[in-house]
Amino acid sequence: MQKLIWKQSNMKNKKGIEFSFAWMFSIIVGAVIIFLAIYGATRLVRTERAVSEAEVAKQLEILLNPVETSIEEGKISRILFVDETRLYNNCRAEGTFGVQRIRTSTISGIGEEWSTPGIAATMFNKYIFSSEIIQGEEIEIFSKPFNMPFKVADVLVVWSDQEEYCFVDPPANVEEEINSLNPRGINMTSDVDDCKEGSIVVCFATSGCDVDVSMITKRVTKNGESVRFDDSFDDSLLYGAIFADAELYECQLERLMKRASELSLVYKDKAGVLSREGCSTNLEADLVSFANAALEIEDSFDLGTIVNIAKSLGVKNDVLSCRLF
Amino acid sequence: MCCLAGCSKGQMKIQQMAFVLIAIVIFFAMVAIVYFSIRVSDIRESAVLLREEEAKELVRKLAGTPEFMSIECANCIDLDKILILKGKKSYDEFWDLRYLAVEIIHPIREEECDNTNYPDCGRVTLVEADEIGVPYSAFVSVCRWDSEGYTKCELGKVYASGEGIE
Repeated sequence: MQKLIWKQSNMKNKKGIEFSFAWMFSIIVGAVIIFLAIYGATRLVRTERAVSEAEVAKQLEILLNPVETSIEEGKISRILFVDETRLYNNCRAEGTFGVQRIRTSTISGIGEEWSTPGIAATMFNKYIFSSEIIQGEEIEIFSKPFNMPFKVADVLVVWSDQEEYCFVDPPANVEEEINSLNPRGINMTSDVDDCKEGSIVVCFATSGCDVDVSMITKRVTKNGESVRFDDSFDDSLLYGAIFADAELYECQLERLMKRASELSLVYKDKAGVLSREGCSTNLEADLVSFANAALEIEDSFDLGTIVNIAKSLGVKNDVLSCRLF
Repeated sequence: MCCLAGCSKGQMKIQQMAFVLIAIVIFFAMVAIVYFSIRVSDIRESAVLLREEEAKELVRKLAGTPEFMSIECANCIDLDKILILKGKKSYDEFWDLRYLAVEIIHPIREEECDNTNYPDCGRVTLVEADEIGVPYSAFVSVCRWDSEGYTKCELGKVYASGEGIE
């Protein structure tokens, strides 16, 4: 009898831990629903961040229009972001004018700290000289017209509030320009030791600094890489070479040359129009030769050739009664 | 298939659960469709606004760009260059706009400029898509070299409208 009672109670216990089909089904379906909800929410947050990054990049592209110069020789503008932002500066030299692409990534407290950079804002008529990644809540933009010998475009030199530059012994024209425009993040001194700790030291008279500038050989050396600039018409390339990474500088220079070449052909056709209106310029051949030379430039060290053609073109144009540019 | 009378209690429960699940899925799908349609329309609207803003900013600065600028003054446009740009294939996508035109508003001349009627014309259209939207405009001085041996400037307007969303 005792044996029978034990058997019955044992059977009852077994029944107590048994899951019905309804429970198992509910748990599995519930888990799937929760998983899908979490996955969907994560994807949604990621998509919303990508949309927001694309909007920021587009807004930045729009804001780059008013910062360009018209008759000014230089202009300082400041753009403020809502949160700390990374700008990814990308340049492609392929095509008629090459492409300037800007992507942004904003810091966030949810998920990954820095989102994947959003859709790029694409510009054919902008030339941004900066490091590959600019990070900060504010960016400073120094616009300088690039002339060779006519205005080709505006060089936009960009750096963030997190970067500080120390110019040691700059030439008089640079010193005067920086003093008059007073951009944030650029200090000038005559001694390297006076530069603030952590600042990027740019030496014009000595070498061994973060950035070495030789005004004699027209070279800027940065991170072991050298590029050549030319200041026969203006200082825009000098600033571009100081602030931009070497690869970006070369790419933007190539794009500038492509635009110069196209503009040169426009001026050549304009010379034809003026000729029909009774004012002959005789500059067509020089303009074609300039356009071809501009396209043949492989890197900044070839600048010398085109500068000579541009100088001669400038001199010939200045004496015309109906100047082309 | 089992009829209601013939179904066991377990089968009934499974059926109930399946219906509830289908209802939940349909409900969430409808919520998602409504959400995404609203969001997509928001994004399109904001993209159009950004394009318009871009056109507005561009029209203000166009007179200062090397392709448009004249050596005569800061806000002057060189009509000779504009006419040349009209025929340049390389500049087709350079502006990223739906509509871009320069018009002389005084004296009024209706004709579109080309190589045959220039300079006795009043408008040069550089970009014109099928749907141009509402263009923004800015007053400019439109200058050109005159056969009488001086640069002639007239009152004009530059029009631009942003790239639309397909």
